[in-house]
Amino acid sequence: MKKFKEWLRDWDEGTFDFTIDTAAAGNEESTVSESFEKTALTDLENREFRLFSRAFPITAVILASVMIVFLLSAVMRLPAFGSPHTPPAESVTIQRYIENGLSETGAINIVAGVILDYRAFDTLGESHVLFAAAAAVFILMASARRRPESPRDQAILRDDPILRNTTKVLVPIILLFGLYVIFNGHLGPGGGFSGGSIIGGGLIMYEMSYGPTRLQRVLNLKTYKITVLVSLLFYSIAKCYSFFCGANSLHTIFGPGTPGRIFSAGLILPLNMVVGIVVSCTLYGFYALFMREQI
Amino acid sequence: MSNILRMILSSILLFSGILVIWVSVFGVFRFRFVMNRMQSAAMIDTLGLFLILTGLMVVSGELSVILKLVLILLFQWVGSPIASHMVGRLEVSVDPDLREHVVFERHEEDT
Repeated sequence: MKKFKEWLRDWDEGTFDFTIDTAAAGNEESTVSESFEKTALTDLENREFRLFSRAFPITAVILASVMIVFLLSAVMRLPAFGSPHTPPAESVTIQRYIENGLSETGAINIVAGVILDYRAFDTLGESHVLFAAAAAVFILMASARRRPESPRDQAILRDDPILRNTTKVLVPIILLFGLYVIFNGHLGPGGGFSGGSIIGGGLIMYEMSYGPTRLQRVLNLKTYKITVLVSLLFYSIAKCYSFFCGANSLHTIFGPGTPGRIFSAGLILPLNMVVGIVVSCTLYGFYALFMREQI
Repeated sequence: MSNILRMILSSILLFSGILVIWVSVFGVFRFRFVMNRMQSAAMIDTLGLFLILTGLMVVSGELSVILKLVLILLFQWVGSPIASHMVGRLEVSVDPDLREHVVFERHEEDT
């Protein structure tokens, strides 16, 4: 594999050949210069292209102005902030959420109380949709054979001290912030979906700069399957238990607790953690499957 | 008096930030070579963001908001130039016509 500096030196001396070192990539001989060959356009194609390049900006501006007018007129019709006559404020359900949400669920963040307590089955369905999407992508994209990393990707993107050192500093902060958002879900803005996306982004950034082998020690296909399945099973069982107890007015072991503490609000904190695990694993799994067809 | 001064200062900062971002967006679409476009786009995330966030800091004046904005600024200043660096590096690695646009300067330790 040629290092970046060697590429640059060859370039300087004029001995740079665009044939990629394909020792690791098998017998496929591919050249970069092929893709840069100027294809000769026929006259008709040329005229069509010119017509397109003239018509495209005009159409884009017209469409954008129409969209802007529509959206701004919709914004003008919105009720004022804090107005008592908004449609949600006059609905009985929302009023109940706002008035009894804190005492019934124990979550200071009412949104977390609604999506993970009153309407937890919706969130359960969303997590399962994510899992089903990941499974579908896995069925379509995953290949059993181990494809070696192409040396071009390695030479261009991976072996970069600037990127690696920045990643070393940034990724722990990103992961910590994601954990904070998850664990703060019932106390303030945050929750499983947003925190899980942040953690997934951090994992993707780490994989981009260091390659998959380091991350695969922690997160390979087996751990991916086990964590996601255990998370979804825990979610289903816990919510079945709590809905069963709630419907039959039984005493549950997950009370609302003291609002404001981190271990309060009953099931909301564990459910946030579970949703965060599913979301981060799904995001990273999508990235890995589309990049190199395996996790 | 101090309020009026603050509003003037913040509006100067915000409008210069908007100007920088406008010029950069113009450059991204106007330039033809990747490196020029990359440099122009990087201006948005560094100078434009700095001016806008400083203006917002002057507007709010609360310590907690200022600290959060400083954190955002630091994060962007660390992260965004890396993206520009990767774009430039990819261009250097794969473009065969690079020498028509760029003059290489060699340093001693590189050779």
